[in-house]
Amino acid sequence: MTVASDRSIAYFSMEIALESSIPTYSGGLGVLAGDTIRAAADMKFPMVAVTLLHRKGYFSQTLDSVGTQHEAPTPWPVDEYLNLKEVSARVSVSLDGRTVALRAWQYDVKGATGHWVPVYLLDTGLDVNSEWDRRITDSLYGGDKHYRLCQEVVLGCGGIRLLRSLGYDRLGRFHMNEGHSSLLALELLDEEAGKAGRDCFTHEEVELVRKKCVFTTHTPVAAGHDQFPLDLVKQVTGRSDIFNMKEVFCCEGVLNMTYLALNLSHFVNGVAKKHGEISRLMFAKYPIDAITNGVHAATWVSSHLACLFDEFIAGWREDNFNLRYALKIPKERIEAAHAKAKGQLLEYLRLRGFAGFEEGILTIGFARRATGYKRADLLFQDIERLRKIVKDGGPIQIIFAGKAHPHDLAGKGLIRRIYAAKEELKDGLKVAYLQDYDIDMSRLLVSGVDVWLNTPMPPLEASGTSGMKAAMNGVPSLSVLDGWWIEGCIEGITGWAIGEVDGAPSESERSRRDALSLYDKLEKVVLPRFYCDREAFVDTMKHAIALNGSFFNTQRMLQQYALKAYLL
Amino acid sequence: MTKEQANPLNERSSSIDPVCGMTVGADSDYVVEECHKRIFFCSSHCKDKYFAIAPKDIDPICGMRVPSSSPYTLEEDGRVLRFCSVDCRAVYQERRRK
Repeated sequence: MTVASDRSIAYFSMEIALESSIPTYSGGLGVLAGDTIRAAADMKFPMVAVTLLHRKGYFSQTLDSVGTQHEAPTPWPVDEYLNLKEVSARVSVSLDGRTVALRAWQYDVKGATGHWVPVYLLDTGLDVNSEWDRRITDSLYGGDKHYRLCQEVVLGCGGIRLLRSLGYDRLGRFHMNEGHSSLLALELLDEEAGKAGRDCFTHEEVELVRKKCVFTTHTPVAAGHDQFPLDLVKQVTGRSDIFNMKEVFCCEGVLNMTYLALNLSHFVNGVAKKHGEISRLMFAKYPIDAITNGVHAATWVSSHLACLFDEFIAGWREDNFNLRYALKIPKERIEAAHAKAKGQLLEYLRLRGFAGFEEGILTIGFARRATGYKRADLLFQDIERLRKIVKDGGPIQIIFAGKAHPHDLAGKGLIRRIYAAKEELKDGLKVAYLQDYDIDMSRLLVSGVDVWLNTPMPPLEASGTSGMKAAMNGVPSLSVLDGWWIEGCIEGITGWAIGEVDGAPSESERSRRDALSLYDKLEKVVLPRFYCDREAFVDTMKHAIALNGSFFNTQRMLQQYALKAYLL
Repeated sequence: MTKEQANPLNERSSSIDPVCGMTVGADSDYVVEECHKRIFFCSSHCKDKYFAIAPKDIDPICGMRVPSSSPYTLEEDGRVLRFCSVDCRAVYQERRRK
């Protein structure tokens, strides 16, 4: 497929992780977007995607001797990327009464079968723009509300205009990955009104746009939804009348991007069953479905395991359901392939100055954004108990990685606490915190550790996807029951649960109970199985692949989107 | 388009039970009205459960149900109002001033 007009699904996301060296993503949302597009390319979906260029990247992280995070911009040489080409089209948007010109760079994501999905990265870095305007597409999640709103106008309104100028005139579905791109729906309403030669849109046009839009919400907390004071919206967009239409824009005085998307989408979904429930209770008037996230198998399976899959599971890349046949692979072959991945990870550590990590020791991985609710320090709640578990049950080594958002002081404090625990435990067990976490490091970690640890404060982890990547690599999760793990956990078969689904009277009590459960599970189940019952441990590894790898992938996820949202 | 002309969301022919996630017809007998919109349930069980598990407070500006832990509060006539964000609270205060 080469003709723009043949494509019918437009996917919009503020961040998309295309490759490690293009730092246009901050975490799970962007990696999910990248995996979705990679799966769409594999599955020959008629999709096109839009994001911002983020010329200065997210940020690079360095950690000093006590774990204090230091940030630096990561400008990347846009012109030097051979797989990124500037498109000749130019469009513009109006911001604060000025006309801001936009261009785009095209990156083609190639699928396993030769099909590709074009991704357009919008860029205001043009000489005709003022210096401030040129920086609008520089920083991901940087700047104040005004900067963010300008970015969202560029993404939503500018994105639609760019697609139209490139000939995408038969798009039937517009998928908003989180509320940052909701303004695209407003642009579609304006398009419909414009066709009829009117300034304002009608009820029929609202219905028409609603039929075209799909919205995936990712935020399980009330305070996390993107919103802007209406005065700011009026100043930036130069429009005032339409925002009084409560049925479309929801609230007088505030433009809530989630409500805008909820009101203008025919299909809305949360990213795991539990997250669907939470979202429905938050927004009870809206029919919110759930499509549990997935990950792109061919991207996340280590080369060592991929060779094994190629030998035993024909067509696993093209059809991920085939991963269920991992149960047929001889245990010693799974063990050997994982040992190679583990060796590669430990070599990576050694090269970065982390000495003394050994292949025979139970290695626990924990890598994700450093932020309060993910509770990276839960394992260190009771240092003496942990020391005793290691002494009695067998050695453990732990590898951490993850960036804290530059404004997230609690997240930064969490990294320092892990450094402090590392120092306190230095005679008992090895702890490493790898700096400047990215996709490549993530791939090494999810495939090279023995157990993947996940300890969010429920119900704040909408889905979580790193445990899915680990599962694909035969690495079982030891995780709090939240997000995807409520669906993925079969106790002792695919991994192990920490704590109960239902909550405790307070957050501190929940943390206390979860830490106790984590210690018990480590001491009584995981360590004995790892060191004394290898047969059972490798069986858990195989079931992680067969039951969770075959399901929690972006192929299955996209099939559900096709069934429920794209084809209706 | 005027406010009256806009399509209320409860005109959809089907909805999703917010408790169990099941698709239910807009003709379901199990229905409650909240902020002028109807919420449909598959059964009396889910309808009752909704009131037990949904956050009790409703942001008076945007209508979002917010947990009792929300830090964005205002005291008014001896009762506590809870908001989803500092923005909604600011809009409420502004309206009160007018």
